[in-house]
Amino acid sequence: MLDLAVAGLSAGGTYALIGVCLVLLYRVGAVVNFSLTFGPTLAVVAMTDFLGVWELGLWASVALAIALGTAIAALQGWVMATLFRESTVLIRSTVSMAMAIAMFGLATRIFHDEPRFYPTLFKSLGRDVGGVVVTGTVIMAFGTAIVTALAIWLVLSYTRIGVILRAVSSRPVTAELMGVGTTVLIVLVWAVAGALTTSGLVLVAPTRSSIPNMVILIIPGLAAAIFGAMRSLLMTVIGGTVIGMIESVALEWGAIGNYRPTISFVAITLVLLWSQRKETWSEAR
Amino acid sequence: MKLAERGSARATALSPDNIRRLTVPTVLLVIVGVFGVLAPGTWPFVATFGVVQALLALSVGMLFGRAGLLMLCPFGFAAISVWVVLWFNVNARMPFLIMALLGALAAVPAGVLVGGLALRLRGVNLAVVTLAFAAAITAFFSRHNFPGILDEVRVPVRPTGFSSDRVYFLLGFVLLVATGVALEWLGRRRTGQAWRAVRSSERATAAAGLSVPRVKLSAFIVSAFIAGLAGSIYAGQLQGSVDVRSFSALLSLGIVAAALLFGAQSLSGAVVAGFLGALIPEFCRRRGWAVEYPQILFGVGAVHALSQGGGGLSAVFPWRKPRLSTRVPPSSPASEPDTGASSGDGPVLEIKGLTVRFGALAALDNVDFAVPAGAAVGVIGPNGAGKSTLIDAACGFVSYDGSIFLRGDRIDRKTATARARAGLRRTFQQGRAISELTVGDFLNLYCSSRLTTAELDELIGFFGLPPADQPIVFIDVGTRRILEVAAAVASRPVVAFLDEPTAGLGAEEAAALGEHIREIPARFGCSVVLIEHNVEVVANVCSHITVFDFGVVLARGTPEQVLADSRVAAAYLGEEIEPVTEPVAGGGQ
Repeated sequence: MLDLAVAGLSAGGTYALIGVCLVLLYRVGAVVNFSLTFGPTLAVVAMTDFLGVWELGLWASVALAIALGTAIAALQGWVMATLFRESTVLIRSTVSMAMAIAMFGLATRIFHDEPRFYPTLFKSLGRDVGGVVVTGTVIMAFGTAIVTALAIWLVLSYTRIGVILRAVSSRPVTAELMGVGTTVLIVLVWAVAGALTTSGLVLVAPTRSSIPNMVILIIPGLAAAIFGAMRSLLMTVIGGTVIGMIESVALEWGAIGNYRPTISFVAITLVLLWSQRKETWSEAR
Repeated sequence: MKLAERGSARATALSPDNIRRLTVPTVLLVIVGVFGVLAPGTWPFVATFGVVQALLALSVGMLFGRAGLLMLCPFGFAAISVWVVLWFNVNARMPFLIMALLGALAAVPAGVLVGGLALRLRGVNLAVVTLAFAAAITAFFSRHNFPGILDEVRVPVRPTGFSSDRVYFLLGFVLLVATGVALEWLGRRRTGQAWRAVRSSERATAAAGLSVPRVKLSAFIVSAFIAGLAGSIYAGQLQGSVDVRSFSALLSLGIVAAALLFGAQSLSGAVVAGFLGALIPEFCRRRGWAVEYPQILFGVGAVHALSQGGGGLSAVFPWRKPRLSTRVPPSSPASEPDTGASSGDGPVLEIKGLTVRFGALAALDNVDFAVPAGAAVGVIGPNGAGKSTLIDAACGFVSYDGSIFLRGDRIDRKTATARARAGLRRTFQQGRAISELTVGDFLNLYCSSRLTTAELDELIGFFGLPPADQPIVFIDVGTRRILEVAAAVASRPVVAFLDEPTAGLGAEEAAALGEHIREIPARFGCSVVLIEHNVEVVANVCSHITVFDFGVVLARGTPEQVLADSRVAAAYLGEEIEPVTEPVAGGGQ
């Protein structure tokens, strides 16, 4: 039981990391980015070619994949910041869905959906703690989520760039009039989210292995972000971690365990219904 | 333009404009239909997939385009339907059309479930939930094989005589066209107009006496049924050899992208989305090109379509654009009122001890307010005085302490919709006319039973509105506000709250509207509560005025009494004031 719960931390950490990136993009870029895992998936699949076909070496391939994931996200951010500057959250989020579809087609087109070998990183970090196996993936995935959430929180709360980012998020036009380069900042935030998500996917790729299995991580990621009401980084990390652990532990629950992928749906539904219970009317008056 | 001319201005079913609008979609459907039946080889089979995708795009497009609800699980609904059709096919085989109907109906409970969530969840939240639902459905069916697919000998699903791909395509195509036509018909009925209302504003929908939950659920039921019908046809197309991967959440996202790109709220948009999505990949495959190119193009195209504004490509096609067929006539002066309604029969609306709090702020604090029968009373006060909150509370849009009586009946437990139906109507500060509807449709939407031609003509004549068949999209903002006032009194309510109806009007127009409002009690038999910043209009229209400031009643009385009150002037000029402790004689109480 404890073994499974700890093993679930690798998936949970990835969900949390994706969730944290979604929250960052929502808070600064006012978008629910449905395409967050799609560009990084393309980059991670490309990594196997960097490794196997180009023979670049493990860490060079990983670095190049992260750079690719970052570049794709930055390009998306630029499209958002220029074409959809004045759009509503719903329109921007819908745009991200269309981007997701285009990138899914692109990834399938370039790499075909065939089984590939993904290296397991940080094997040597694995530890046996009191009889419970803690793999390197668990340590890195969960650790990255925690460190990222902490770093984003510190930046947004205590730095000048954090203040500027919050200004861009709440009043983009006003911020621009005050001399803030909103386009650059939004591209930057998208790029950071792309880099982090690619890093997360590199870690869990060996257990996901196919393009659809990797892109679909957006759903537990969304569940985590919604757990944090698209605002709280701490609650997002907790939400992602809990969902990952429940999915892992559910393996022991017999028939119910078969429906593990529905846990995100149930979690999203319950959290949203609770948080929106007083929203009797739409915002339009 | 005289009244008689306005009556004759209504569009007939075969007006040149309608013929022009219908020509291109009809030609499109004929081309697609002929292609599916006559094309060689396996093309009819591929075209049947086009029918399936067109129906799925329609289910997404109608919800988004008509009701403003973003649903990302069309393949999820379809999977349920496929499962049910195959179950009947294996265990209780019956005529295909009955199985198809049962399959489509089986998707409806899922639609009700998701629609139920949409009562609280909107916009992106709804999109996230429906995407997660799509993934959950796929997960479910990956554990529950579709009935019969593991059997060595499969029971054919298609009906006798429809086993060939060509004939089966024709069956699917007929069902698609019938669905599109039925949806178009429904869209012009009250149900479809109510979807547009919910898309525009839920509060305004409730203020029109329509039940928002019922309207949303009806949209989801129709959408799920259409997606379910797609599933039923899909089951027959594949003859039961279905795979759970055919229903993945990603494919649902692809349908959504295509629906947005081609504006699939209409049959023609859905047909373009569905058939291009099916035929282009097949065409690419045959030419040895990558089948993913269309997917990439659809995604990029949808981004482009969204950057150009909501309606998708079909919205910019010439045949979709309605033409201004009739000129907007100038506002006509009011004709003489019919009969004088009695005034002074005691209050029809009584509000006692009304307190509304937003956190620590008391927007209204222990307010008493009454509206006499057949009277026009005014409410004035600086911004933030609590005027609109008074309407919100009276009409059931915010929770409050205190009690409200309408014609002596306590209505505190009634919903906003129920209060509107009981005779409490309102307008909003923000324009709430629905631009997709015509003047006549909009006025009818606000009445529980359809207005007769005479009643419609009377309303239009009295308020000097454009003809009944004039689309609201072509009407200027000022006239729209007058239309909203007309809609509020069209159902002849007990009390009509008019929230700043002259905002945005010029001085002359405002004065003219004021004259019309003054005659509303006599002509429509309802009392009017006029909330205005234009004190001149209020003084002209109302017999009594109540002045609010900081959530309390500052003064009440006749216009002369109130406007002479130094405290009122002080409040408007921003000086500290003491609230009224003893009611001034008369004044709405």
